[in-house]
Amino acid sequence: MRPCFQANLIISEDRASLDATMDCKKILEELNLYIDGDLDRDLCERLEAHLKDCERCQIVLDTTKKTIQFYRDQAPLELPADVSERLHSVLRARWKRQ
Amino acid sequence: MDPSNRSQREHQLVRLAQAGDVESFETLVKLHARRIYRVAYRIVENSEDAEDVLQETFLKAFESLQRFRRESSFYTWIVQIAVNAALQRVNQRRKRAAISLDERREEDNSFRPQEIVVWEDPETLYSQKETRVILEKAISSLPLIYRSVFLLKDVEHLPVEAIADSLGISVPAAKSRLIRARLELRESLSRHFRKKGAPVFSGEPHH
Repeated sequence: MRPCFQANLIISEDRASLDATMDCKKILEELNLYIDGDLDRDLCERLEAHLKDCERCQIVLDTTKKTIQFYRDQAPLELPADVSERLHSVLRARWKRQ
Repeated sequence: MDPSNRSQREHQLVRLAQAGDVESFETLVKLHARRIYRVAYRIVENSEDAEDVLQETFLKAFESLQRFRRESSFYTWIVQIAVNAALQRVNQRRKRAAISLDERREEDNSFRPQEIVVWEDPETLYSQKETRVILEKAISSLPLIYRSVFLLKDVEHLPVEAIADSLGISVPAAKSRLIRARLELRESLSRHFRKKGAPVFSGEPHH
């Protein structure tokens, strides 16, 4: 996890007051960057201050992260053996023509 | 094998394959065929077309191997070939079925979450098989322009720049499709995974 995510451990009351400058719409706009850990530190801290007070955004963030994780955790589709064999035959036939 | 050793080995295989060693190319095929098949299948959504895309991808990769300049990983390079081949196939299929190719009208990135409620752990609600069906249905109902970005970024871990490049769109467009994809999927899954009795928040921002 990037350092940005750890900022919620050090949110002070002063930091929380910055919440007023960030709204739910902004959270959605920055959601990708936040989830991917690519948000700059200042914005990240403001966003986390907002999250601290906004259950709605916390839920959206949490369920979006879960959504991504579910798809990542899905058992990978197996390559059927016959598909693999045909792929190698096609390639070998191509090499023979060289 | 740790990632740096794997990457070194892959670089060596690519160098040998570029020098004409077909066995090295075949090893590269073995290393990546499953992932390529998975990406292809998720885009074309049937095993026959996915197999065609798989073959086309490695034949094309072999034929244009000299043009691969090793600036990205071999996988990033071939998956771009696969995505193009898969999208072409979907477009051909749509043309035959006389379905509009213009998905741009679907491109509205102002999507707002509606179902805002905490989730239950799916394992407490459904069997593994049922959960899998829910996940599959949700992703296949996502328009292709969003599904492809989500798969490439969140499942295949491709950099956004490579995704934008392979889809022929700008980086900001890829990022906004990604957010739309994530939010739409989240929305679909919320209908299944919502915790019973938990408060549902309004979709309208309160700030």
